[in-house]
Amino acid sequence: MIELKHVDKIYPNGYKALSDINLTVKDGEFVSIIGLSGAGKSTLIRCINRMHDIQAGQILVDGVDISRLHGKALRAERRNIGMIFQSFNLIKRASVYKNVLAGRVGYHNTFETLFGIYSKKERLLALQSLDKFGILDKAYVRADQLSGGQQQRVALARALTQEPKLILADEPVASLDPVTTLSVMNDFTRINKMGITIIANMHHVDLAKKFSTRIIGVRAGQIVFDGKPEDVTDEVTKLIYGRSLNNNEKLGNIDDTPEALSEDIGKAPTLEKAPAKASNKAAPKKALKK
Amino acid sequence: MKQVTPEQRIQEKQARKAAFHASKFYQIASWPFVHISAFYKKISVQHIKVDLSEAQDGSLIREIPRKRPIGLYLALIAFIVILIICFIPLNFRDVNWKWDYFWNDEIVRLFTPFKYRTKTIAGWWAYSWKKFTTSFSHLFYVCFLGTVLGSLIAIPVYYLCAQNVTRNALIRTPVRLFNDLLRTIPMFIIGYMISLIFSTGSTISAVLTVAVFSLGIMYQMMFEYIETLEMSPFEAIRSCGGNNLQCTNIGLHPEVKPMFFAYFIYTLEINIRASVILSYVGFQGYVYDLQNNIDQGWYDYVGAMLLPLLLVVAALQFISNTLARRLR
Repeated sequence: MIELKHVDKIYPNGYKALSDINLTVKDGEFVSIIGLSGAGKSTLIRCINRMHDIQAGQILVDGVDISRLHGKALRAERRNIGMIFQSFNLIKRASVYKNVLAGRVGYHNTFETLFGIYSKKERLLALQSLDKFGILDKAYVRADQLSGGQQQRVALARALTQEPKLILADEPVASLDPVTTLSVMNDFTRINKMGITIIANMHHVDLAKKFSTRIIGVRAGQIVFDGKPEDVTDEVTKLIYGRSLNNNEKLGNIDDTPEALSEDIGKAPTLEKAPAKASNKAAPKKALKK
Repeated sequence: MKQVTPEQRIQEKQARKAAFHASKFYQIASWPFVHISAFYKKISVQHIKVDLSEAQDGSLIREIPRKRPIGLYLALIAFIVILIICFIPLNFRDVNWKWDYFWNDEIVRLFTPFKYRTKTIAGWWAYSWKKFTTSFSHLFYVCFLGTVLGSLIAIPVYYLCAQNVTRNALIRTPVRLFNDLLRTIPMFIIGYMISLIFSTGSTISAVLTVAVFSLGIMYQMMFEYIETLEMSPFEAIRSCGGNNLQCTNIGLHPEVKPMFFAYFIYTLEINIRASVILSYVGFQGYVYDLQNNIDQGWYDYVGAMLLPLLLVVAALQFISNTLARRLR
């Protein structure tokens, strides 16, 4: 359970990103945060695992005030909170397996990670979480050779290897194409059904409405809407975005998308191999310029 | 206890700043700066007028501000002035052209057997091979060991110097200052100081001199490379609960490693080429032999000694280029 009590966040330049946020998220919820760019969605998410410091208020994650923690205690708390990024933030040069094992960092001391000492159980856990997303055969492939959707799944597997109680997702599907978006969102739903709370920033209201169990609207650093997906009407979007959304700003009828298509697009080799080769060829030119 | 909200704290700070700006002292002390900055602002922005109307009749004139690169202009002027000043005291007429002599004699003499020294072509190659296996290989071993030592020391140093890894300026700045100082002192002085401790002509002082030289090159190139890297993996590991050392090791090191090897070989190549410094430490070997041969006028020996150097440096250059390209 996550409780935010009177949270204020002020950036060093005096800009007030969050003001008096009060929020309670129960275990097992799938919360989507929607709002304009710069409304404070990312700041809100990053405050929960203390990537940003807050200036006033409390953030309680399972009763522990994370805003008061420092050093070791903070790191121990962070390993219970997985995080997914818009640009995946994988270690591009390392293999997928190493990327996923990196999720166990919080459970080890510096010496053990320096020499890559992980227990057998952890290695098994990493491979299992890769298998859950259907990319086990890519375990020894370098992370930058995968497609966008696969990279986001690696990031999901990394978060899952942490054995978290909560996953924070900062615009997880913003850099993916529509079909991959749906399959990654299905993965999120599957994780949610395992009993992990998910808080995600969303750009598309339709996606948020379809996949989440609760929607929070943020505007100018304040929560202006908090309710079920069914309650998001035109009036509510007007409240959040300043005007109601046009039809061309929606994804369309996403329920029509066949599940089989969204389940795994990793089986279309012609689509995926081409960009990987191109990036390989482009790399040496950079080196030559230097 | 009085509760102070963060907003109030910021407001108080701003109020204090405003009071200072209104004080008599500030107004008197700041006038040259105010005038200079006003003048700079005036000349640094140029307003371009554009006519956006369809008929071009001047009915819709807009102004677009454009910054003049004043600093660039000043640098350019300084460059040209220095260039002109250079030509005033220097006299270029003191040259005595010897192209014919150079091509017909000097270069050719290096690579042809001389009747009193190497005698035959086979003798020339034999001398070259002998030097390659003895004094040159010793030089290579010393340079290799020194470069390995210097590069290993450089690993923590370049992470400490990189601004995006070491955020704390109190740690970063002294390390950088020390290294800059190390690079400022000419190499032969450091070599001399090392040879005072470890005795002149010892192998240890030669290795240490090369190590210090390599450290200077490695840390500079590596930390500049690290500062161009993306910090996203670093951030991801931090969100998994890693400390700074773990973040650097897992998130950043895989990106840095290939460049480390490429620069390692590049540094080794520089070291072999710049191995003249070893003669300052009294390292009796390749450089000593070379100098001796030049002094005696045995130019076929000199050429035979230079050939392995050329080949090894070319090979190292090729390897470092290939590595930098492949590993990226």
